Amino acid sequence: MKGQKVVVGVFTYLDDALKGIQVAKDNDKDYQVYAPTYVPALVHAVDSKRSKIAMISLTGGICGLIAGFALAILTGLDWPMRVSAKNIVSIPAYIVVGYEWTILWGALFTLNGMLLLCRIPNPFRKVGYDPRFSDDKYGVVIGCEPDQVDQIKEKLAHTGADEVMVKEGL
Amino acid sequence: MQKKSLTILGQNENIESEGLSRRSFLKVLGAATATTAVACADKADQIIYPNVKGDATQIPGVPSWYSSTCTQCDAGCGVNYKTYEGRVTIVEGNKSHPINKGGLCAIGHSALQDHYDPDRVRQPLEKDSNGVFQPITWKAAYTKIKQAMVDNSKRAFLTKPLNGSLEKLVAEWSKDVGVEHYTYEPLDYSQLAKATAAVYGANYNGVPHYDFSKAEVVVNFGADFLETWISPCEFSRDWAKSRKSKKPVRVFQVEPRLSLTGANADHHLKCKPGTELLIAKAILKELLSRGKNNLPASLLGELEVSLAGISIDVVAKLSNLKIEKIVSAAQRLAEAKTSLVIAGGASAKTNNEYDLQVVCALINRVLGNVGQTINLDRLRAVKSDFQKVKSLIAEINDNKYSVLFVDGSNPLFTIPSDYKFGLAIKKLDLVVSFASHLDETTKEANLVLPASSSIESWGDHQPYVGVNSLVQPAMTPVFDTVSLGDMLLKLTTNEALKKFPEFQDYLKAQWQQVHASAGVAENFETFWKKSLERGGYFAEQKSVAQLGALGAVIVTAKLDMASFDSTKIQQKSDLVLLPYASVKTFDGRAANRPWMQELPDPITKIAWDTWAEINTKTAEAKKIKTGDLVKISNYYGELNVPAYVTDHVDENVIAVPLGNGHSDFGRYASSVGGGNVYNLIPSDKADHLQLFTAHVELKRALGKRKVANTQDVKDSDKQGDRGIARTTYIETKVPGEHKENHEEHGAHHEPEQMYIQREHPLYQWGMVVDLAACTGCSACVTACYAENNIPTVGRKIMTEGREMSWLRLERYDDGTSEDLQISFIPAMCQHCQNAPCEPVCPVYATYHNEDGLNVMVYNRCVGTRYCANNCVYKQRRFNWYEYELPEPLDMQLNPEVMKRVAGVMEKCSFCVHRIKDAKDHAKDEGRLVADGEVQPACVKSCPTEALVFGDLNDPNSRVSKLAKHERAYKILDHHLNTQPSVSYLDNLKYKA
Amino acid sequence: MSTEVTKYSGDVTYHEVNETVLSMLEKPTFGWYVLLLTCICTWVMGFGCWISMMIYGLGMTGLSHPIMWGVYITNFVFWVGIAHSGTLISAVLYLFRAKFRQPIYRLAEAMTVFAVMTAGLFPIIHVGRPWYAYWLMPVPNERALWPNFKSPLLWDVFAVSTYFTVSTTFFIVGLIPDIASARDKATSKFRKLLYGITSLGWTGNAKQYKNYVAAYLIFAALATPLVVSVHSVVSWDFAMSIIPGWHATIFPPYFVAGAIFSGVAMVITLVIPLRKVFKLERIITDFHFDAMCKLILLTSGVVTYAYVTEFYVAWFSNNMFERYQFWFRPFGEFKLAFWGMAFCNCMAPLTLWYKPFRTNIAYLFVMSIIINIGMWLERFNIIFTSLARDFIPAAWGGYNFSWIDVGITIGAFGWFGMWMTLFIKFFPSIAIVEVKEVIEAPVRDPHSSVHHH
Repeated sequence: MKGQKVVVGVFTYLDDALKGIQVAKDNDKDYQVYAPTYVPALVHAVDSKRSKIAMISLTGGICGLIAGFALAILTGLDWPMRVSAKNIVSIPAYIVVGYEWTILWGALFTLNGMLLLCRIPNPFRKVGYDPRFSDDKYGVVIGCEPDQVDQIKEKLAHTGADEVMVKEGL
Repeated sequence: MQKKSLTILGQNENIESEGLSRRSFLKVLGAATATTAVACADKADQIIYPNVKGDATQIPGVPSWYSSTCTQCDAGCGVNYKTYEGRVTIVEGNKSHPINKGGLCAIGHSALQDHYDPDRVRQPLEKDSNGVFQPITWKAAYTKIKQAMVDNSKRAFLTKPLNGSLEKLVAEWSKDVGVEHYTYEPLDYSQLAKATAAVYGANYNGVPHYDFSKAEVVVNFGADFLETWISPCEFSRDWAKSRKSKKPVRVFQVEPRLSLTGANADHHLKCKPGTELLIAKAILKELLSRGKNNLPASLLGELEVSLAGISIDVVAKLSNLKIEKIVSAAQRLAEAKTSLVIAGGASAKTNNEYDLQVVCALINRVLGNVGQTINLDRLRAVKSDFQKVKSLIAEINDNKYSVLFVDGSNPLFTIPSDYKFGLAIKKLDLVVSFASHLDETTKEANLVLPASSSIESWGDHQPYVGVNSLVQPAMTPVFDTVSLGDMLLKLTTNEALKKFPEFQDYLKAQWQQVHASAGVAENFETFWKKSLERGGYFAEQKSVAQLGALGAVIVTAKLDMASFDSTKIQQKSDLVLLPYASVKTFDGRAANRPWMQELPDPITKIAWDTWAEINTKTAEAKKIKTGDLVKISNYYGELNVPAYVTDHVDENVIAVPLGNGHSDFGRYASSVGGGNVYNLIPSDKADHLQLFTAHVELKRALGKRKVANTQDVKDSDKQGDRGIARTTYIETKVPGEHKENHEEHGAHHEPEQMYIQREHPLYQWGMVVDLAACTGCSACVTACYAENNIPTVGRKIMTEGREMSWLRLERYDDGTSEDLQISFIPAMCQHCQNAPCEPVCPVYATYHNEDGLNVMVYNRCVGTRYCANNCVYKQRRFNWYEYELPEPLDMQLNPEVMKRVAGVMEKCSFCVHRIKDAKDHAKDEGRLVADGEVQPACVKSCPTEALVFGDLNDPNSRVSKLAKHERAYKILDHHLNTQPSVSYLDNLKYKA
Repeated sequence: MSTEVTKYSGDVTYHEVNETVLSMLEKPTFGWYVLLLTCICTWVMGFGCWISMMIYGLGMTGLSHPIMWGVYITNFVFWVGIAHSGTLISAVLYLFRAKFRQPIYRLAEAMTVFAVMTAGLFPIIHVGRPWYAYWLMPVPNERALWPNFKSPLLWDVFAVSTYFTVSTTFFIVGLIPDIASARDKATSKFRKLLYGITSLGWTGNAKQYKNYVAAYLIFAALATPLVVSVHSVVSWDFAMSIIPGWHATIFPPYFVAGAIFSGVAMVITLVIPLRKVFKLERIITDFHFDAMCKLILLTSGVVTYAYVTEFYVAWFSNNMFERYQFWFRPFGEFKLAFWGMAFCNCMAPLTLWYKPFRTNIAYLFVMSIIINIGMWLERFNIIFTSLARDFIPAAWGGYNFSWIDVGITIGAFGWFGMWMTLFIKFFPSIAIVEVKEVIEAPVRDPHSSVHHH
């Protein structure tokens, strides 16, 4: 987040928080929003683009499908044993394997994609974070230079924040 | 050869082996050398080390075969012993032997477990002052006996019927050391012999030879000729030959209890006990009235008179049979060109057996069967003389005797206690037993000189003229034992005998005569060697028998109602005990063999137990259900056995198999209690043991016994319309009979296959089982145990349904007691082409090989048991435990088959190791395996050749021809399209 | 706005949710220790049985020819079945936006994961040589021995392992934000550390929420077909074989329905005591039980229908083997199991049509246990009776009761219970963030348009 200082607004009410975001946008500052739960309105206000994760999952699924069939077929050919009258490679029987691996690989790709996009695991607390944000408060954190602090504080206070704090930036 | 090994070994030492020490193991190994000699001697104490130099004829892992003779009963079947590194692993029938021609019964196979019995006496023993047996040396033993022989008190030698050179030696020896020789066996044929002599002429005092293959109709009064009677392998073979033919022999079985033979008969006439004589007379009368009377007029007159009292409806009423059944038997006899009427077995051993035998002989004579189906040249001599034995007992009790020698026949067990042999034996100063087990009799002995088994001894056997069969040792004695013949030679004082250092020499001396009479060109040594390879010397004899004058008949045979004594039996409440010889334990000799104990009885399917067959009505009256313990008692003793309630035994009869209830003998025998059946039989004046005369009380004892029965689940003996074991009824084109089955789910239907059927480039192994020839004798089951190292699991585990048998002999009983429909079907892995068991295995532990075999890879098996679930024939057995064999039983294990560990699945492999061998040989000689070259153990063992194995790829092989037979069908194939490699041929039976 | 949202608005706040749920993580009580200890002892006992079985051989079990599968496979199917409702409630209902899932799904998922962990043991206990069980996995080896992918058992291996992996992932992902809340409230050093690590530094900023929710939706979408597939594959272990009573096309749907049926019942069995102990009445309300009961009624109906169909088909097929099998079930050796099943799964649940029963907690608790017993018996019926009577009468057999079987079966409950007990004390067993999600966000000006996005 750009700026040596950050101004942290702690909100109880959703509509106030949204106003806080507006403040950041108006002064086109970098900002970060924390919420105790997933609130669509809030997330949309921050960014309304769709997540890229779906593509990652799809890739995984396709790889899994191919890998599954490949495993069954290749091992079969590697150790060709006739059981009853069935063919060495009997595709119908292998559908299950292909299917299961589609899902398995899809899930594993999704997991990694998510970690990647959410930037976790992340050992450091994000700047301006406050434990209350995981409880019942919304937080709007706006980064700015020392000279603009008072101005931003002023604006946030007007949005109805319960409390406005100033913290060190990065 | 022999000499060579000796020079290598040099020293000569005397061994007291203690169990299977390393030394005695080497000793056994060393036998390799000895046994490679075509003729081998049991010079146990000379061959101790393996043949270090290596021996061209003895390649480790390559078996050598020895021809010999089975001594389990007196039939005298030829056998081959397969030995690896000097230990016998399996015994099979000798193809070139005239008696059994390749088959062998279950008891014959189990001879190995008698030979390797862990309970065998391992060295000479002497009873000390506290009555405890202490090991002594042979030297000491011999001296003790010699000392006892000096005084001039009376000495007796009691043996089972002996044969050939040993019999001769015993006779000479007895004479020379002053010993009286007595012979006894409980199930003797003395009455048959007497009757034969009476009716056919005094010079025919013996058991004639019967040819069931020539007879069109057989009327059989209780003779279990497919089980234990005279020569079962031979008889079942002839019987089957006819059954397989276009016009099978029609068998009427008249007996109060359904025997295995009865189950295979076309018509089972369940008569009241002891009424067989009446029925026989009725039939004779009927035949005479139908003009069958080629007898001297004088005799005819006599017969008319004595048969006057017989009226068929009275007979029918007394015997509780339908008149038409008796009439039809007589009618069929009258119409048949050749026929046979026989009587015997336990159920005939009433107080009127002689009369019955006479009447049967007369009928045969009337029908002109002598020379047709009855061969008087091939007489089997009857040696057992119970009359003499009784007098012996009496004299011992009057302290006339001081010394008694007994062989391994265990008379104390088989002579009913009421004959007081038990008391007698205690009165003797010295009892010397040559038995190989510490059985009831031997327990009473002061000295035990263990005799070698017949697998370790020399000997010969002449069942009847023209058959001179040899017994030769196939390995050195497992324990420190000496063959009976050698002992006698050691104990003799006679110079004439002394000149024979060993029994082998004595034997050869006897065979000089055989050689002479044979009149062959080659010199004796070659003749001798050839005979050993062949298993004996066999020469066909021309018939010279002339029927003797019949004068004697009237004198000896009492052909009148007076001789018939079943008035007692007529009272409803009165129960008679029928002790019968089973294919499991025979007369008791096979009781200590786990294979025999674990073998399910063909009729009741009970194993590891003795039981009482009780009629349903009788049981209901006493509130007895199958499995309840019952007390069967009379003045002389009592039995406590579980009940088996069935319709197939008469209301007045309680049938109990002989042979179990040993107090001593061995761990396996004594694990089966119940009590000794012989002891309930009262003594009488008869000159033979009248087994079927004990009247008993039946009580429901406390509690039940979980009997090991492989088919005891409700309805599991009813196949209904599942078409598993099928029967085609001759002369009955009744619609809805099995004829139709063939159309709807026909034998050769070729359904659309979803998959491309597997190509079999070289071979496609398959089997055909002809149910018309299968008697259910279960020889195949035991052979399979022996060949494939199948563990016997014991009674408890078997009651949990965990027996390991790869070959299940299924018995179905779909009929009623009136109209029997018993079917036997030997079921092994069907080696399906569309095997349901294969695709479900997650690790390919079972798969299909290019020979069309369903192969099981033990080492790959994880034990998911999915295959067993999905096997529609339920042929897969799982190793729930790991089973250990007490030494030296483990010496019998077949090195070609691995022993399975706990947790893996196993099943019939069509003896894949034998197939492999055959293929290798063929490959070496650059040819394909010839038809019949490879035979699985079951196929080899089958006395009736009901099982045929071969290559289905080869259109000319026996098996592929039979697979296309009109009677051929495959189990469940029409339901499930499993494409089994095993085809069955419908059973053939006559409807009344 | 859906009705269930109104259930909260006004009477529960974000803060209250946080407090109530996190209070569950406070210092363990004596009772908790007792419970944990009992569970551990139970499964140790079961484990002992297994060891002795490995030493002496599988003969220790009651299994025998021809009942080669029995109590262990029954337990396997039972536990896999239990596992199902977890994913159903968390994933499927998530896709359907059925908000009643929110307070109960975390428990359901925990149950899923631990149930699969239990189920997974049974195939290994079952096999003859467990130490070679890994041969069922495609482990590369120098001899190039591979498993047989044509075998339904191998499908099972893949299905169950996939199911376990995916549901565990789903479970852990769901936990992350809640652990973050726990972290922020944590006092003890240990917990600070534990949650600090396990929350992966989650802060709940808008970007995270955006991707998190998107990913969560995809997980749900991936997990949903698993709910159907896993038990279908399990059912193919039977349906793919040719044993009368197993070889039936109806099996997959029938098994899936049965699984959900038993799973929901198990959730009820677990939630009721939890709710009581931790006073969650305000979060888990009658409304949730009512909804679950409706699910039970539905699945019970499906299962009953399947039973009837089986009998009808057996009769209609005119196949003597099928017919005998389905005559044998109600009237044969194992008839008690059959009638027990019929009572527990078909008759007893019918009472739930009566609304007061659906909200009577004590009654529900009993009912849920009855259903669980019923479903165990169902599997018993399918496996034992079908094997006991198939094609060849001479090979028919029965089952020998064995204490080892009982010991291992009970031990499994101890194993499952231990994980559950540990979980509820160390991690939030109610989804804080998602419960908050269905609470109306507090606004200063009620007329603002924030909620109409």
